[in-house]
Amino acid sequence: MLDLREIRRPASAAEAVRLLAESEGSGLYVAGGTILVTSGSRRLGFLVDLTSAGLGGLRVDTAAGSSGTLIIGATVTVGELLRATEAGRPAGGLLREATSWLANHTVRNLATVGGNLMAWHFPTDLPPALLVLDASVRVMGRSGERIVPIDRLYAARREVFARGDLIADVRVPAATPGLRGAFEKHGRKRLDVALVNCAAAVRLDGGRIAEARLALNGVGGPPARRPDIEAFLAGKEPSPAVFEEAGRMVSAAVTPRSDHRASAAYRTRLAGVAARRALARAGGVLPVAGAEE
Amino acid sequence: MTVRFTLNGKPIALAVDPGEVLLDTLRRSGFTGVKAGCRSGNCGVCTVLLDGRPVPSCSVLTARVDGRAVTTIEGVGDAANPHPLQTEFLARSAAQCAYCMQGMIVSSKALLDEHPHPSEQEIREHLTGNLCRCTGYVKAVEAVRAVAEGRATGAAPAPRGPETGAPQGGPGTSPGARFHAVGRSAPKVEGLGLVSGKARYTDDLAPSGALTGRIKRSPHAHARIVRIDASKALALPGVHAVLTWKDVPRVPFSTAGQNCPEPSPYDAVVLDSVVRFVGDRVAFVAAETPLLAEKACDLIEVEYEVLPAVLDPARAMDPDAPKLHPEPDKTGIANPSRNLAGRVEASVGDVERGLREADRVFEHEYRAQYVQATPTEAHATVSYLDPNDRLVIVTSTQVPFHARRIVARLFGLPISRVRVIKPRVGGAFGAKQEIVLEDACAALTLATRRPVRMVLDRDEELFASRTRHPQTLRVRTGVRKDGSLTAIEITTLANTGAYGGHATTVPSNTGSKTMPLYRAPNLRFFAESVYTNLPISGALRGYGAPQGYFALDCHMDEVARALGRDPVEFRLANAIRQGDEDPIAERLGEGKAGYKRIIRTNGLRECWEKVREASGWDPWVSSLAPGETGRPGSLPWMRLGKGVAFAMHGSGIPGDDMGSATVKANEDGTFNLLIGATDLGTGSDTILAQMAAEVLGVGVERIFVLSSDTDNTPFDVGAYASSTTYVSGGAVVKAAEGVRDRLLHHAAAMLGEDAAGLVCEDGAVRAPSGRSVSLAEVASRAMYGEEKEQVAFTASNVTFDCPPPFAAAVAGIEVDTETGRVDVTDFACAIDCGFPINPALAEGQIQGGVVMGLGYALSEEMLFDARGRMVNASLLDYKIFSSVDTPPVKAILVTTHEPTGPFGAKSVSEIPVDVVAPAIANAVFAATGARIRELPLTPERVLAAIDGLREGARR
Repeated sequence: MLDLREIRRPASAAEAVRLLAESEGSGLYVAGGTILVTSGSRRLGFLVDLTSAGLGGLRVDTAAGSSGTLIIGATVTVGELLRATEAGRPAGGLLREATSWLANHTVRNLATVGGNLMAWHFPTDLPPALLVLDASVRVMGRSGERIVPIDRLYAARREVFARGDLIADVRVPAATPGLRGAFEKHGRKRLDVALVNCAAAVRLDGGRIAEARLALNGVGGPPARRPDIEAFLAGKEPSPAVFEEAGRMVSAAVTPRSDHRASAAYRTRLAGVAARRALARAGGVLPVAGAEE
Repeated sequence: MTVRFTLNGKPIALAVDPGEVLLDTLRRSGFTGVKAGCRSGNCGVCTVLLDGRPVPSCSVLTARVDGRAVTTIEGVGDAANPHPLQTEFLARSAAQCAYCMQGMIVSSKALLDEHPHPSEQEIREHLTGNLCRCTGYVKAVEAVRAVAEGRATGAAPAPRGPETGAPQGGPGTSPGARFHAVGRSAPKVEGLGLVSGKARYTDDLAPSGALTGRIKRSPHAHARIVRIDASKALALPGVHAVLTWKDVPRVPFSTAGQNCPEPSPYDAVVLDSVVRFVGDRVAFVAAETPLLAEKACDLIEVEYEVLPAVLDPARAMDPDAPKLHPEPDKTGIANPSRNLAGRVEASVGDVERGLREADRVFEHEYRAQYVQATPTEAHATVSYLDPNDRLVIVTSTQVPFHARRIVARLFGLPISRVRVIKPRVGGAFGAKQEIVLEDACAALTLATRRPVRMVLDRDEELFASRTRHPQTLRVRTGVRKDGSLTAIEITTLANTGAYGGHATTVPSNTGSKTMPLYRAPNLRFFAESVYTNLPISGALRGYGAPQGYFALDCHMDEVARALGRDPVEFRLANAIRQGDEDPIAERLGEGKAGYKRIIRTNGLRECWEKVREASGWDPWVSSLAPGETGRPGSLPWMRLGKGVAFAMHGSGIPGDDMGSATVKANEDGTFNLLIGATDLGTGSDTILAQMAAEVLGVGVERIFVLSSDTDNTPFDVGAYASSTTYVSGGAVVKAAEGVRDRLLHHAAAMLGEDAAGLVCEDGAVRAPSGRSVSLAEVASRAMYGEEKEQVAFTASNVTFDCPPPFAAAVAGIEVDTETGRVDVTDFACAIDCGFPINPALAEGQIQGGVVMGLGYALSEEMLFDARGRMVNASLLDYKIFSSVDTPPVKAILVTTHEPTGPFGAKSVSEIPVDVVAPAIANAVFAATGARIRELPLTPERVLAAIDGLREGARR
């Protein structure tokens, strides 16, 4: 039971934005509600339900010049995303692989893509994959509508995402042909908040790494790409040793925090292992154990 | 606001509060098959279908289902028209406490509706939102597969599972008889109601208008309440009572539900002016709604004088450590000035001499952590005054008669003014062998004269109910060159937390359950149990033995490997044998002296043979030298390993436990079986009905079980100490025999035959001449004929024996050597539980016990911050095993015929937990060479141990 005065169910995103603005600070958006509804009985003014605001649905934009961008409505549930065949396409199924780690089977039927991106206080599983896929989000708010690259959403949240803003949809551009992705998640058990998770994508050309992308979550600060690692790998020949070195560089660079789920030192180790394994899989290198440190 | 939606196919309009969640709307509308478990989307007992897809109804605001379709378990099917899943779950004994099964069946229905032919892996993936604590998921997954593959048993559940042949001895057996009821996997007597949301648990029985009770809890680990002011809370409309320490009688007692004389210290009072752990009781509130009760708790003003706290059991006995229980009115504490709650010492021979005589002496220290029982149904109690002003307490308990006695004493009521009813229980595992809510709920009902319901929130269940005692154990053994043991010593320091219910008895069982397993002429066990400002330890499935076996059977593995011996042969060579006397039983009883124990049945070697076959035990594992690593796994960084463990346990508390049963004949040839024994979901109602049916020569369907109600069923100590089949079963046999004898008397008169030659079988009494008369006719004669009487018999059973079940287990694991994560790939466990009365239910006990043990071994641990606050008090962060973490556990029954047990039965419920942690730790050693002596074997801990090896190798 929530201590809730009212729940409003606007029929459009514009109306949702207007309703929240009118609440003068006492309202909150709710999408899947899996975190908010179970957060205890704290006093809430009113909720603006986004699930009837026309933010559902998933489609591939085939308009001229769009080159097949996958547009995922913010209130598409994790379950819907998993079942959508379109979601299996980007980077050899990277998005689907990341999605398959999210929550448990019942929560997936409530939890939404937009909500997952907004759950700032958890290292959730979609952000690294979307970062690697160069996704962006369509943000709506009192100051209108804009497209925000997802790395900016996390790196510069206060600048690009104001109070009263909402995510309307997520846009995943058609991946560069040949880009292959892989996702790694490490928790205490299969069903867990990630201690560390990681998405990688690699494109090979002529036996060399034409492009490498890597993003991690849970390693301190918001989820982010690792341009240092990406630059290190560009142009190199994919080999166990190269990815081993990349993993080592990741562990050396990250500064995760300790909490009751894991120590910072353990997360640091996991980050290197996860990065190496994801990169090696994405880079088509047969799995090899890391050299003992 | 009004919400309109389709509920189980019918349109419905309901007025709801905007903040109400679907779970609560459904329950208050009568759909109580939907259960509350964690209210955070992690456990799934509240699962419903929303537009055909399973969702946790705790996480859905009812206002948002407007226009949608909701299906609850009641809409999946009922007893008249069951869904094949419901029939199959019942037929395969997949449901134990069944609290989680409603949600699991709803989820499974959605799966089969969308994918009629899922693989086992798909089924397990689909059930990740449905945690189960009783079954280990094995039989549930099998049931879904059977329905999917068209192997369902059909609408009429037939007995399934292995049959165990005829019993060959023990009370209840008579030579030459056929056996039709025991030794068969009869479906549970609760029938389809159990799997269609009809079974009534405590909170389902709250009278309408019941107030909600809630406990205000301490934010400090140790503090004195200097001032407490409830006026603001009481001023809130809808708040009916606030009780503080000033408002309740101060009667020191033990919250442990144990037999008289109670062996645990009287160190608790209902409410105190001192709080002793974060979460301790500060005040009770009764209010119209849960939300109001919570608000009222917040409005109680408390001024605390924070006192120094002791959180480390190793420091608890220091002279300068803060004292938890210095008050002079507390009794039974071993030494309050040292925070020593209990102390146990027992010796056989002279351990020091034994160690001197040994060729080698080994000594290791092991640590076992804080874990919680985590029943899917949290503690729940409903209390009210009946029309005659008697206090009625409906409670999710293992110990209704102890609860009655304790609550009556606390409030100065005659026993006759208190009635305790145990309805269906949603898992207990020991945590409900305690007065956790009954006194609080009763106090609120007595204060308000209103019905009150109390249910612990999941976080309260974790930090404020009862836990397994953390222990630090030191094992010393002396071994001769020939591999024989000259001495075994186990010393342990147990942390009883803030209060000492079970403070002496649990640690004493750490010794008494484990010390006899391996033979040595010199034995010593020493235990101290200390208070700390942390959550309260108590009974938990295994009752001290899991800690003891983690230490002892890891130690045995270490010794065998150090000697270059096969760890299995080393164990078997030293293990106790049939005909041996348990050397320590007389000196180490239940916190006091015990009784002589002769091992009359011992299937340990056969357990090992069976488990070796089932597990594919591979000699290479046992020849592994220390430091060597196991076989390569599925990926280069993975290593495979197998580990073994043995255990023995007990069957009840000799000389202490008493079970009673009343059997009453009805004129149609059916019988009521009234038992004080408490089925916690284990299936004991079914097992006891099978025993009565066997004696009376009728089908189990003719036995109607009532358990338990202090007004209507005879006394039983309750379900704990693996006692129900053995102790209460003995009472059922005697009671049924008493009824049978009277029926034979009547039948003899009807048939004109000598009663001595008559037998009850197939619902009739038969004479050697071939003449027979139906039991209905016999019972009718008794009721309406010439010798009118109610044929009924009450019998009690006390036993001074405690025959041990035996177990052997092999864990197969795969270790990620780069992250430390341990995956359990297979687990085989064979148990000699004597003659299994119901093989499928016995298998279920093994599978569920093993999976509970896996959590203990690998992932469960209550964690605290520096101020003593539990930091992982949710099912997101307190990690019990889910469907995808769990291998298909192979449960193997090895039949022996225990002459002292009913039909030859021994216990089965606790021993499976004993073998898991040592088997896993021994497997991790086999896989990695890392010997980890601290539970749980979390990824981080395993990786640190592997790192330690690498560093050691470099040096």
